[in-house]
Formats: sequence, C-alpha cells, structure tokens
Amino acid sequence: MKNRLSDALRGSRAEFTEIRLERTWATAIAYRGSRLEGATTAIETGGMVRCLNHGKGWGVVSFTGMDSLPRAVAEAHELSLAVPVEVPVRLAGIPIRETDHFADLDGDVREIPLGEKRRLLERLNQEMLATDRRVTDSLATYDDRVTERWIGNSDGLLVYDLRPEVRLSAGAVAREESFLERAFESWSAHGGWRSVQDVDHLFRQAARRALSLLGAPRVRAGTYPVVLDPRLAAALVHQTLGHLSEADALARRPDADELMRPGRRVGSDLLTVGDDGSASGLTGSFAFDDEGAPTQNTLLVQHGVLVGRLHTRETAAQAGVRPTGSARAGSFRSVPEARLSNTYLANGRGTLEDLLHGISFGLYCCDAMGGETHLGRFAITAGWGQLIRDGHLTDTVKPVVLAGDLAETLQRVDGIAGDFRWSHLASGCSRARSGRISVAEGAPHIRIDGVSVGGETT
Amino acid sequence: MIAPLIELAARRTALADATLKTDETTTLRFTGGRLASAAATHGQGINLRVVAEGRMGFAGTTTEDAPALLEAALASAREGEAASLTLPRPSARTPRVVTHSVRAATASLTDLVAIGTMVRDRLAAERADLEILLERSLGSVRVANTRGVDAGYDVTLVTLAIEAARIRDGRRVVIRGRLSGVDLPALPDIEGLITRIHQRLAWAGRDAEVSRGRQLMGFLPSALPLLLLPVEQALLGKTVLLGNSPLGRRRGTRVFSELFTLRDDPLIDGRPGSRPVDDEGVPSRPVVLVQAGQIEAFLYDLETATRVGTPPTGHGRRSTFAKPQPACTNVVVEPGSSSLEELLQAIGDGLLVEETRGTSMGNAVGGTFAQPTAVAWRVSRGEIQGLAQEVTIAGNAHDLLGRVVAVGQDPIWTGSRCAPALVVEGASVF
Repeated sequence: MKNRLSDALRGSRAEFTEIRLERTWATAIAYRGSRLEGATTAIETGGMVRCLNHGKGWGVVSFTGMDSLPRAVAEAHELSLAVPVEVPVRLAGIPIRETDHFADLDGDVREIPLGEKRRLLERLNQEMLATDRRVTDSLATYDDRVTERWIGNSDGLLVYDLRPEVRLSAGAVAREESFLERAFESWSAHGGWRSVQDVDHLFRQAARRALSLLGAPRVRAGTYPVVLDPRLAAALVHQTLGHLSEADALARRPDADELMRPGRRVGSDLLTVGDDGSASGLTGSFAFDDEGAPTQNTLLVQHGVLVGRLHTRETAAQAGVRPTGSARAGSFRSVPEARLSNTYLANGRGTLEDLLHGISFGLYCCDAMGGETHLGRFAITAGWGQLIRDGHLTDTVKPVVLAGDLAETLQRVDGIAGDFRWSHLASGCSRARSGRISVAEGAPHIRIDGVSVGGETT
Repeated sequence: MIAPLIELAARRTALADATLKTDETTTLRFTGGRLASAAATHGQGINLRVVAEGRMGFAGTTTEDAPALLEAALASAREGEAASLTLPRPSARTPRVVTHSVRAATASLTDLVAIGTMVRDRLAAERADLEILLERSLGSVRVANTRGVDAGYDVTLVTLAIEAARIRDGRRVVIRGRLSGVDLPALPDIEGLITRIHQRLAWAGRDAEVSRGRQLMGFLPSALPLLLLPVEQALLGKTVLLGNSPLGRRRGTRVFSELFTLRDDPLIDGRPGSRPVDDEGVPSRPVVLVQAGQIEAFLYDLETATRVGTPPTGHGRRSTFAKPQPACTNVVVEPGSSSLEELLQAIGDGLLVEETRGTSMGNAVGGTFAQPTAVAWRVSRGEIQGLAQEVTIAGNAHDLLGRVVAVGQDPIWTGSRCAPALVVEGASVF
C-alpha cells in the first residue's frame, strides 16, 4: 500500500498533494429485546486525496476501493485549479517523517469468531433483561474495528498506524403500569477482545437505573447549587469550551471567535481545560492526526482564562501558531477539520463529600444524555440525579436539563474534587463535514453554586 | 458485480438478494462570495442478504470481492435469527418515475460554478455573509434476487443550499434556503428561493419581543420536520412491531386534525425520494398514511411485513453495511386553502417558526420536544412584527397535529418533504 501511495504522489501534477488511505475490518452486532437484530462483519477500503496549487484552493476527492487512486489524484488537481483564491492557502509546517505505529491489539478482534462475539452480547443482554420482570425491552450493541491508515504528502511525509477499538452499549427499558423509563450505559476502549471481558456491571447498571427512575420524582424547575458527576462535568466541558476551541469552526463564525478571544476569562480560577490526543490508551488517542501531524496535549483554558485553540495546518498558519495535531476526519470520506480528541477538565482537590458539605438543599446530577450549545448559551440533559439534603445524597430524581449562560455558569464553579476519571463512553462526536470521530472526555466531580434547572433554556 | 454475486449465492442458498449503489458527487462551496472549495466523492457499496438453513444473515462491502462478501453473509446467517422471507418476483410492470436528468448528469464544473455565481450576484446587494453550497450527485441503484428480480435505475440529485448571515446587535441571524431535485434547479425556483431570502432578511431588520406561555404557533415548511419526524417514525412498520409507536394500535381511528393528510409517494417525478422499486426489489407505490386525521397505513420492508403478516409496501431501504429497514421516500402533506396573510391572521398573536436548532433533543417517537428556535417571527394582530429573540418552544408533535387550525395553500419542497405551512394550537414558548 505504501508503494501505491508513493507512486500516486509522484504522479501528481499539483504543487501540494496529500493522500490518506484506510482499510477497516469491522463487526456489528445488535439485540433488541431478546431478538438478534443482526450480526455482521465488513471490510472497507478507501481513500482521500487533497491537492493545492499556487493561487488556488483545495481540490478534494474521496473514493472507495483502491483502484481509483491515480484517477482521484488527477481529479483533485483539476478541482483545485477550478478554485481561484485571493488569499493564498498556507499550511503550517509539520515534522516530515516516515514512521509506523502499531497499537497493542489487546486480543485481535479479527481472530475472534463472529459466534463468540454474538454469544458475549447475548449473555450481557440476557443479564440486563433478567434483572427484574419490569425490564421489558432492551437495545444492546457490540461494535469492533481495526483500522489501518496510511498518510503521505508531497513534502515527503509517510506515516502508518494500526489501531483497534471496541464499543458496547446497553439500553434498558423499564415499565410499570403506564410509566416507562429508559437508561443507557456504554463502554468503549482503544483496545481489543480482552478489554470487553469485564463489562457485565454496565448492563446490570442500565437495568437498575431504568428501574430506579420508575418511581423517581421530577425536580421542580429553579436555580439550585449542583454537583456534577465526572461524566456530566466532562460532557459539559467537551460540548461547550471544547467545541468552542475548534479553530476552523471559529474562523467561520466571527461572533463565536470574539466570544473565545484569547485572554478572555470564561470561568472561575479553578477551571483548567485541555485536549490531549497523545494521552495513552484512550479512544481519542492517536500518534498523529489525519494530516500526519503529531498529536499533543493542548491547554485551552488555564485558571479560567482562554489560552489556546485546536488547529489544523491551515488554521495554524492563519493564526501564526504551530498545528496542534487536531486535524481529524471520521473516515476517508471526510475532510479533516480541527476537532477534539481526549478533552479533560483538570483535577482539583478533595472528595465528593467535601463538595456536598455545606449544601443544605441541592442537586447531584449525573450522566449526560445530550444537549445543545449555541455561542454563550448551553443546555445539557443529565440522565438522572439525586437530591442533596444537608450535605448528603438522598432520593433519586428523573432526568433534568441544566441550562444558562456559559461564562456566568462556569464563573460560579466553586469546587473541583481530586477524583478525575475518563468516561470511556461509546458516544463519539459528529460534525457534518468531517464525520463521526472517536473521542474521550474526563473530569473530576465539580460544584457549581447555582445553575438554572428545568426545561427553561432562556 | 451484482449478477455474478447472485449467481454465486444461488449455489449456496435458495434465498438471496442484493443491492448495489454507486455514487459520484461533486460539491462546490462558495464562502464570502467566492468559490472556496471543490470536492468530489466516488463510491460504491453492495449489500447482500441471504437466508441459509432458515436463518438470515447480511453483509456489505465497498470492494469488488464477491466470494468474500458471500462468505461474510453466510457467517452472519449462521449466527442469525430464524427467519422466513418471501422475496419478490420480477414485476410485470415496473412503475415509471423520473429519477434522473441528463442535463444534471452532463453539467460540467463550469455549469455548476455558473449557478453558484448567479445566486451570489442576485444576493450581493443584501451585504450578508453568504455561504452557498451546490452539490450534484449521479449514481445508480441495482437490485437483484434469486427469484429473478434484476431491476435498476439511474439517479441524479442536485442540491442548492444558501445561508445568508447578518450580525446585528451582537446576534448572528442566519437565513437558510434549499432546493433539491433530480434536475438542475429551474430559474423560477431559484428566483422563488432568492425572493424568500430577501423577504426574510427584511423581516429580520427589526427585533420583536415574544410573549411567553401557550400561544398559537405557525410552522413554515422548513420548521415542520420538528412535528413530522416523530409521526413519520411512528408510522414505520418496524416501530409499530417493536411496540414503540404511539400510533401502533390506532389504525382506522382519527388521531390528528381533519385538516391533516399525509402520504408517502415514491412516484412523484424528480424528487430526492423518487424511485420505481425499493431497495428490496418491491415495486414502488404511493401510500396514504393519514387521511383527514385518520391513521390509514404503516410502511413496511420485506422482513417487517413478513413478521407482521402483511404485504410489503415497497419501503425497504438499505445502506452498504446494514440490513434493510422500512423508511419514508417522499413525504407529502396535503396543502390547504390559506394564503400567508390568512395564516398570519390565524396566528393572530403568536409565533411563526422558520427554523429550529436541531430536531431530535428529547423523545423522538413520542413527539415531545423542547427546542430552541434558530429563526422565528413574532406575529401580532396578524402581521409580522420582526425577528423573535431566541426562545425555546415546547409541545408534543402528535398532540399539536391534532390541533391544526390552518393549512397553507403553497407547499414547498424541503429535501424529500413537500409541505405547506401549518398553524397549530397548544405549543408553548419559554
């Protein structure tokens, strides 16, 4: 494959050519209730060529299979010539190297028969359904993949990596009389078959959570002191400060660019946020990004003040900084954009109990079920919660929406515990142009002295 | 490779079917008035389903390796559920519908750039920040099975999408418009779209305070997916079979307003969902889903229809790597008799929603939503007062479609949906 890639680069008439090739082995299995929805395997190959010429813009061609590579190179060059630009596209430099990176396959999933994978999911799904007679339905999925990726460019870069990933998800539906509740758990790992041998607790947990929500009361809308569990804190940071730090999205949005001006305060002194694609063994970890730039730990917010952004080669050149190894694409079908990898809220001190202490009435909010961020405003749904009374966790409550002005809310973060953990969820992150990418997010428990809770987002 | 694949499969099993889809898409993006990028994709994917020893399996590939694909599908069947499936026979008469335009297929890059440039020039006077996307796909679909079906058709699809943004008082207001069909967009349609954008930018020149609480609310066609998606989901046979559809047991009963009639129609010429046969080789036909508020039918693919014990409706859709599922084709809401002025009169004091931020936060099939508006117009005394500040609107789609008070007379195509504006009672503004 390397030879094909090098030959194609040599055959290009463009001033700059970048080629990315991929080969993926994938398995997908799903159960709905006790019925198998399907179990299948697939091999997919394809690639993307990007060309750039002096005074011209990008020409981009993606293709399935490998036979079209030479034709794609010629077409990408022609497309580039069709795009006249006034401001020349510049690319910040990256280390030119030839390296191979083999991740530990951790029990190569390609060598495990489909039947064995199906039986694992069947057993986990049955455990979830057998938790209680009120658990009436389920959706359980298993996905694995091993991806080979080659990236080369006309400057002489040629890098390769081999990377495994597995994902499991458990959705439980509990019914009693006319009440219906759902709960969801998931797990993903930058690993193989060995990493899914000890995940039974997730499936039982999804069932127990759905059951516990059946009788749970709703919270009355209002403003409360809240403590976020690490998963919700991490999701909030990913969705707000994380996405608002992606340089190419900001380049298209002058209002967001102003909101995220470097040096601006976006939260309390306690907040330090970063994105680390080079962290080892996480689902957002890669040796290099989809332009072949090495990944790194990039600080985005330090003690509440904006200090950095995530860059592709193009946005880095515009900003006069070095690329951060953040150019990411969901697959060969997508153009790389500046995207998150492993996003974290840095550790503080103390324990959950320390944060609860002193709250006479408040909310402990856990698990993220999705949300919306628009400029300085956010809304995020916690999958479940518990009431805090006199510094202690008490009754479970149904999902709640936390919403408000981002900077105002983050300014009220008045406690960050020292119990950081990565979430290992299978949710991923999607954007229209660059597709669905694997990410990780992590945080400790945090306390916010007053968040608007309920359906209101204005 | 589909014919040799079916031949190969027939040696191992009596029941197999496959769909081969090819696609070549050219995408041009104009940013700030200039062509900013040109991209192309070339793709093909084949999906094979087999029933072997009474069990169903499926597999997909983007490669040309037919033997490997068959082995993967047979391995999937060994793990699969026991299934019976009646594949269709070749149809005596395949319906005719336009899915392809020679003009769109042969348009050169220069022709496409010219359309984008013309739109840019027509909107230049607005001094708005313009993003124009022009996309032309050409491809083919071929379906074959072991009972002799071998059907195919060519497709083209051209999409013109416009975003005109203005920043006023720190708020960025984005007006969007989109045309898509199998042919290059016709001049009158482009003019219509540009006129709409001009009008919206003029309306957006003023802010207007919104009153909170329950009120009459109009949904323009671009905002209607918020109400239609939950209903479309609930009308899929698979949702019904799994017990997740609130409409599952209500066939033959009146659930929605008498003013609300909905059909799925794959045989309308030249639209994104148009096709003569579905992805399982079943001939296409229109299906009335809701007639004057009464639930008439659900949409089925082969597997779901077999499990329910009903004939398939020709609504199987399959992608390369997943097995067929029932899905809508072109969704058409029957227009009514109200002009825009009459719709505004019907709203009286309320909100006319142009676009919401996302459509899927909350319970999709159940229809309950609480969604921020991206663009909405404040209506008072039956007139547009200006741009409403961003608010959250909440309600339940099933409930609101039961309380339609007016239906517009001018349906507009948005992707594969054709709908007029609707005014409903019972939604709230937070």
